[in-house]
Amino acid sequence: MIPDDVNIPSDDTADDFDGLRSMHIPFKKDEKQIWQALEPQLKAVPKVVRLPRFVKAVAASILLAASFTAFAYNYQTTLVCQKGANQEWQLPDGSNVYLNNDTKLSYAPIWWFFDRCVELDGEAFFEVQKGRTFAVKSFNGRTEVLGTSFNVQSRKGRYQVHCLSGKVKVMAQNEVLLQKNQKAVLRGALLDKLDAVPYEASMSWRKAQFYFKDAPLSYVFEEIERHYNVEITEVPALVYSGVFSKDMPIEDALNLICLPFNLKFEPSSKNHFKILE
Amino acid sequence: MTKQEFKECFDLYFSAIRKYVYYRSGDSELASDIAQDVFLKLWEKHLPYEVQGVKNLLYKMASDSFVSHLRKKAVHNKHEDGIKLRFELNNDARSSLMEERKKSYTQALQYLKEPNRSTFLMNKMEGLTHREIASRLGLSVKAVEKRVAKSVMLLKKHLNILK
Repeated sequence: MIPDDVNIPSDDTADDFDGLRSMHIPFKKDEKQIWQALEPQLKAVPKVVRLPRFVKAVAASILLAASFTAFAYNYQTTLVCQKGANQEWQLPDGSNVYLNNDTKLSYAPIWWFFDRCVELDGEAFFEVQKGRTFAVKSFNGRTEVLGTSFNVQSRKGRYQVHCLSGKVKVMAQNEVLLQKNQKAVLRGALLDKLDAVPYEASMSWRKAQFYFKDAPLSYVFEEIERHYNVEITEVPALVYSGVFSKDMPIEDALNLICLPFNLKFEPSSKNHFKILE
Repeated sequence: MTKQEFKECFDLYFSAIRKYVYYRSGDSELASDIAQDVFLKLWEKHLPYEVQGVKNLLYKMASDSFVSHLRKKAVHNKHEDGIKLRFELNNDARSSLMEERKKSYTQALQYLKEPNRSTFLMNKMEGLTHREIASRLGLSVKAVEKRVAKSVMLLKKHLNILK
């Protein structure tokens, strides 16, 4: 028996609030009306094409590879050799390059492993390690070798390639294949091949010597200018031959050249010489 | 989500979402507006259709939308508790006993705190299981059980006092 004083909920509150199941909330608009209001606001879904994951992965890796390639291709090292200086440099594959004065050489050190190619403006001697084609580009033409040593001189109006060992292919408007001791010279637009050229003809600069054989005096003084970092003006049109050391002072060198021609020179200002007849 | 799928989703959940907002706000117009807005936003998300995820998302969006509405209007206290919900009896349940119950329920419900009220009503009015409510609101089943039990206890107490 339950004692009287215990507070027992009366019948209508003793339920578990099941009565709520038979009630609803008086909304003004029913679902149908809401849908009718909502539907016109639904704009068409823009078609979004989602790529499968592996396609994304492939695209990403291609992009990565492409950007690496672009970086490797465009990343360049440039060597600049001032007037009156010489420089020796080792390329990434162990090939050596010796730069003559007033020379610029650039190459891509990472891309090097795919393509051995340097750009040259000036004069340089190369000792190339055996391997893939080694190319020297310049505005005058292109020189290709496999593994050899050769000298390239590519200055304004002057392009000469001297092969000292192995084989060298020189390309401008025409192509010339050089063997040992042969030399290609650009005359006008075409390359000319010279046989049995003495070693000194191109390599004297490596021994700190001037070597001129039937050279125009203007070229002789250009070389002097480059070595001593001076300017020489009013050069007469003569042809000069001679070999002499680069170690002597500028005045002695000029004397040596001028004497046979009965020419005189005088310094007009610092680092500037004038030639007098 | 295609339009068909969206309609399907609307038919399944619009009513529940609207009621949920009503339990919390006691404002039927606001509940309709928020629910409609939530569905429009859902459409604009262009999600792939996946029933369970969409259901949870709808409740979350509705809740957030309601809270941000309160924040905007700065009427938090008004809605916190003491609001009066309005119910109507279904046609097949009309009787003087039920009218009496309806009156006492609406009065007693004023004393429930808002989270308890919405959880309790989802359980009692819509007949959703504790597990289902927990999944929709992102709560643990235990928390739902506690809220419902607490609500029942408080309501009974108030109903007795009202007598």
